[in-house]
Amino acid sequence: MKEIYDLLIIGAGPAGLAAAIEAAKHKISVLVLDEQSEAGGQIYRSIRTTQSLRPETYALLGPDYQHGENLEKTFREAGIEFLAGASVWQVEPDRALHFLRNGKSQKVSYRRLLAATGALERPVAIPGWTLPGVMGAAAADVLLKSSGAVPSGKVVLAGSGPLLWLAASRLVSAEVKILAVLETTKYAYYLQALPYLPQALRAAEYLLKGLRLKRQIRRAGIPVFSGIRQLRAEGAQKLEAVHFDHRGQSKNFEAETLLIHEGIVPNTQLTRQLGCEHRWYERQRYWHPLLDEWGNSSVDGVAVAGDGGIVAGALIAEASGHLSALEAAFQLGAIQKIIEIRPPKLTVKLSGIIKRCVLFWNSYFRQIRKSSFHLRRTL
Amino acid sequence: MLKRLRNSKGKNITIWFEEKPISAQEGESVASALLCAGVEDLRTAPLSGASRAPYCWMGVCFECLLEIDGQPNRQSCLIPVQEGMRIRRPALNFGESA
Repeated sequence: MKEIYDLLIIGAGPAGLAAAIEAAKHKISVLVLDEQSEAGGQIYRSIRTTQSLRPETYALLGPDYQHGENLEKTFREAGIEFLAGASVWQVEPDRALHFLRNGKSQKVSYRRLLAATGALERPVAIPGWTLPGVMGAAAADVLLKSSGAVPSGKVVLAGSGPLLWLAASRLVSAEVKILAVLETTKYAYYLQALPYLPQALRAAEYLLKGLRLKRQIRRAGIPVFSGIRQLRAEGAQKLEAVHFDHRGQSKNFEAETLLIHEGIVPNTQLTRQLGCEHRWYERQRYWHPLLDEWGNSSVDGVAVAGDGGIVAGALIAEASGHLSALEAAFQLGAIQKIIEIRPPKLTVKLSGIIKRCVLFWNSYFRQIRKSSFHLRRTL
Repeated sequence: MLKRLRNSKGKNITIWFEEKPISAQEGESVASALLCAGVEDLRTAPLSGASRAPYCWMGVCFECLLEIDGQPNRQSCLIPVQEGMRIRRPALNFGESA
């Protein structure tokens, strides 16, 4: 490790990996730190280990996960300096940062910092949520990726949002016993969302994906309770029962595991410590750092890429990583002028049928446009 | 509370939890290996004494803190198992394990 790097990237998820790969092309010195034991972030968590040691789990996780394979491989083969298991605990105003690794604290300086810290599952406190047996639904998904483990007993899922259904779908594929899915979304919200439907149809593949996930749950014979309220977990030393109200009736399930999910929010610990300006994003209900179209924060030399800025998913994170790295290279004088912004080369393996590739390619560009729209909104 | 989806192709590993041997598999986290072995909680809340177990599995909730190889407060959901690891629950009172 050197004392100072041109670009210090925190986080080795899609945004951090794409940024590192792009930056390395422009011959600026790069160091990537991540607190996990290997590259991939949460979306591609432990992708290399899963692929080599747990091939059946790798197959079960499907194309959204496997998309990370090429990205991780490209990153690894580029020979970029990477320290896994490194937890950042302090950033100083004079462009120095401290991290803990193998029980030792180390200091490193940077010219530019890229926070690619991603998102975390929104913590939602309900009565009994600290009981052993209660955890996040995305957390259960991360557990499947990182360790190939699933809940052994009866499971109830509760909350809202696409990741709830994705987690449920993967647990169904893993033959986990799911008693019920409890949707906290109020019926009124579906009506309120209706005006957005025509716009949403422009990204119809996402709607179809959601419908497919829901259909898989219903086909597995799992009851879905919509518009539930008063969710609570009960048990003496660990979870024993999940209680809730549904259409005015109080109901309960005896279960060993309750998985809660109410969406994901940017992990802003680093940008908060740096004193970056943050804004409340009403539509997605979270605080996020204020960024310009290149991902620069309000603090000089500090940029953010990926879900740590605006939660928009892995593909946009990858694109924003490339953009932030180009901006870093430009600011550092490694490239003179950014004449043309070309979308980054697709890292997905084009093994499917051609139609699928074309669909994917189109949605990829649409996402890049959407991403820049999101970023503009925050200006 | 947890089970392995399939046996991994990795080596079988023995780790030690509260002086008892536990069989684990290469490429899984300490917290996952313990919960797969039937351990139900990893720590107790210092004030209420209530049992706690991992919540987030990604390093933000700190409910998986354990003493690993003599080092207190390690995030066991982030740390892969290694042969012969010595793992203990954290001491209940602050300062005792330091």
